[in-house]
Amino acid sequence: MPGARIGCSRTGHALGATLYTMPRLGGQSIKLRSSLTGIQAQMADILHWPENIGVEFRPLSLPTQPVTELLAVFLPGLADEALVRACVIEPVVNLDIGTIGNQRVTTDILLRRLPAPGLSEADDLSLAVKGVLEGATALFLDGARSAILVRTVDPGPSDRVRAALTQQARFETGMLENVILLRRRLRDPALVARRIALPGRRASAAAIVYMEGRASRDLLKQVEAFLQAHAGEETFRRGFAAGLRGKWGLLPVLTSTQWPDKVAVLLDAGYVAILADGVSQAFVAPVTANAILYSPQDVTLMRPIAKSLRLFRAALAVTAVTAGASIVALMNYHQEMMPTPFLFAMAATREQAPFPIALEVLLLEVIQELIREAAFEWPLRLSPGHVLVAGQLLLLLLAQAGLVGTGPAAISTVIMFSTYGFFGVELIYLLRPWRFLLLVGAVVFGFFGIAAVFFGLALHLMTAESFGVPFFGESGLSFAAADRMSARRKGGELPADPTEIR
Amino acid sequence: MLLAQSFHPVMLGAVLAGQTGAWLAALLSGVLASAAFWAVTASLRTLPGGDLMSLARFTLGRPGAIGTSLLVAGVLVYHSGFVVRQTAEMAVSAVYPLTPQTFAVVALLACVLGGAYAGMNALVRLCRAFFPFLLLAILFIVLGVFGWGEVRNLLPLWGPGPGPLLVRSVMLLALYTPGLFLLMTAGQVQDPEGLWRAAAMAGIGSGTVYALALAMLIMTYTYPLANSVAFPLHEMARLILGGRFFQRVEGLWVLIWVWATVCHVGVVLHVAAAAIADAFEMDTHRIAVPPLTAMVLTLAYFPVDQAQAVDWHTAAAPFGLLAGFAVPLLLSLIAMWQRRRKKRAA
Repeated sequence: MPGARIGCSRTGHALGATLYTMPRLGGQSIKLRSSLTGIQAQMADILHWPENIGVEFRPLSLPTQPVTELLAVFLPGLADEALVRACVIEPVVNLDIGTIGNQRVTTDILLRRLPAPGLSEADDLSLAVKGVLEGATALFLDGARSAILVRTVDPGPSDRVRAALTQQARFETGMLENVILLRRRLRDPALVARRIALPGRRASAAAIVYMEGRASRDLLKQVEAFLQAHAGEETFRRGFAAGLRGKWGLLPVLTSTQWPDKVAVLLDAGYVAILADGVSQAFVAPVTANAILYSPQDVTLMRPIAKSLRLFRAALAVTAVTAGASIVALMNYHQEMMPTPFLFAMAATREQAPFPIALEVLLLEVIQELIREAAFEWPLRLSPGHVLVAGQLLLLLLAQAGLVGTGPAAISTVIMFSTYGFFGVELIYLLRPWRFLLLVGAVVFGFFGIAAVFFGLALHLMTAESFGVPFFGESGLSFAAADRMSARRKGGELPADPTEIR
Repeated sequence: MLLAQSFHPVMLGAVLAGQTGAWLAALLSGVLASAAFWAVTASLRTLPGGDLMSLARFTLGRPGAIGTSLLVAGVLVYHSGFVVRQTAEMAVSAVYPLTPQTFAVVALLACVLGGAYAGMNALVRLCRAFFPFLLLAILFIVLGVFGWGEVRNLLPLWGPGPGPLLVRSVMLLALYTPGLFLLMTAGQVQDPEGLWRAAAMAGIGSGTVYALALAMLIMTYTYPLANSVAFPLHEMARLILGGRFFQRVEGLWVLIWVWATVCHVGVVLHVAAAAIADAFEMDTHRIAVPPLTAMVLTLAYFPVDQAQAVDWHTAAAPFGLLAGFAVPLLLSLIAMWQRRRKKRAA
């Protein structure tokens, strides 16, 4: 018997990994209805059943006269399905009716007959929902105004092993597994994972995940319309197939991440996530600066440290964009800005270099692009670590061959590290073309050219919007908004900017 | 950001004049500007539309609205022309001598055009993102020279006396005029209450930073020495610790200053275009941006040299002050009078 093998008294500790436990029932007591149909309607309303993926409503019946109807409600993944079978379904189905005689089956009888030791009774709807969100199975009996909560918590071995190995769980390739990963972090009845049918050559299973009451209805409609219009499998594989604002838009249309922790934080802040079967990452809309710069560790760090890290990530992005152009501006136009020893040292590294500094930096930038593209297009994609090592080796070889100076090669390495220093691969794709424009600005007019081109870049980002949400608006950049992300905003939608023009 | 365009000439003037109390005048002007912002906006708020253009249309009809918009746009375009010329002359020529001035002016205006065209939301976001860096840069330079300063240079603290100090403070209010014109868009923002508060805070904040910078400048340079310092803030930048590494750290400062100026002029030009579009009932302000930019470009080249540009701007400052404060107050009075007359008639 599976129940005996697994052991009905087994207890889990998945709650230890939970970021948020916040049933939204307001703490008020809601009495359970007496009829099973009424209870089912109550639970369905709160848990958004049947459209919510990963919510199980299992009707059971006992062959009494008349037939006794029961309903088991649990969340697979939070509750171990084997335990549910062993501790709830099989004991109920195999209940020895003969020993009950002519008595009506009541909650007390079930409590006595069920084998599991972790049983409790909940006469309140919010307690029942809370139990289900904690991994228990709620067993409702027709005519009874209380639920039996059976402890069936799934410890989530894959999540636990991954956490032990990498400190952070990552998304799997299965859509349902990914929904479970999110539900483990957001134990909230407002979390809805709705299956959507996508157009394409082959029908691919996908789900749109959001927090009811937090994600704006308008945003949801727009995301769904976008998916219906554009989403083939290719879009999901790449994640940035369509331009945000027509063909000139440089921002990706969706941001992607492999970290469930990050998605949980973003969902809680009102964002919408898209999960697809066979894709080991989640796509998040809208794309904002905060969503890209946000790291899962920001939630667990002290606020000033998290703020400093976000600022540091933004500085890395600026370095990645401007460092090459700045070197050209310094060497060609503003040599006097650098200390003389530094200038001489830099010049000495380029003594044998055959090209002018602008061409040298351009060559190094092109080589970086080559390495990235090669790493991306190979059948087995390289990890960022491999790309960095390969890039450094190549730059070293070029410097040794005398094609480029060691100084510019070293700075190019710094640029490479900077591009990998922040979360969000989308930002790298966004910034790549601007590096070349900045280089042109620096070649022609030094720092002044950099300032002019950088203003253009900034203006582009400031005007960009993703599904009606500004990329750099209140919800896009400000640290206050990012703090609200981690501090669980109580409001309904993404924060509005009070100074925005209507 | 509000005062970015005026940091250099006014500071230079203060140092050259050896005004020990100039910092106090700057502080007072900030407080006065906040009070003036509040007074003007409070009177606008009680009247129909909640912004200057609606008020003008309500009181004087369409001709009045057109006249007001032309007056406001004229003041702002004149101001923009001067700012562009001054930035090109002082920042670019002095610090980046290899950059031709024509390119500087054209590149600046291209950025300004982009900003004004993009609209107020983009500009506000840009200013908000950029503001901490500007503030940090100013504080870095100002506090970085603390060790070089002589406190006795600030004595007497009230400078030439309370009377001249107050006059100077009132005159410095002209620096805040562009901020007042921002309120022309007040009727369109989502949270007008927040905008009033932001305007008042901008006045006090700008005044405080300005006063701090002036105090440090006066402490650093004595009167005779100040005569030989053409670009005091540039020179201050050299004195800070960063100057030991970056031999011309003022180059970085000017980079930030150029950015602040672009943001400033972008907002100013947008407001001018919005006023024109509102008065002439255009669908979008964007149509008005390129012609206004062309006018700014022309105006920027009108003065023969930097000295003449400064002279013209100084001469025009009181008119800007009048246009900024007198027009809204006058229109408010007319509206109140009209309202009272209607009540009596009813």
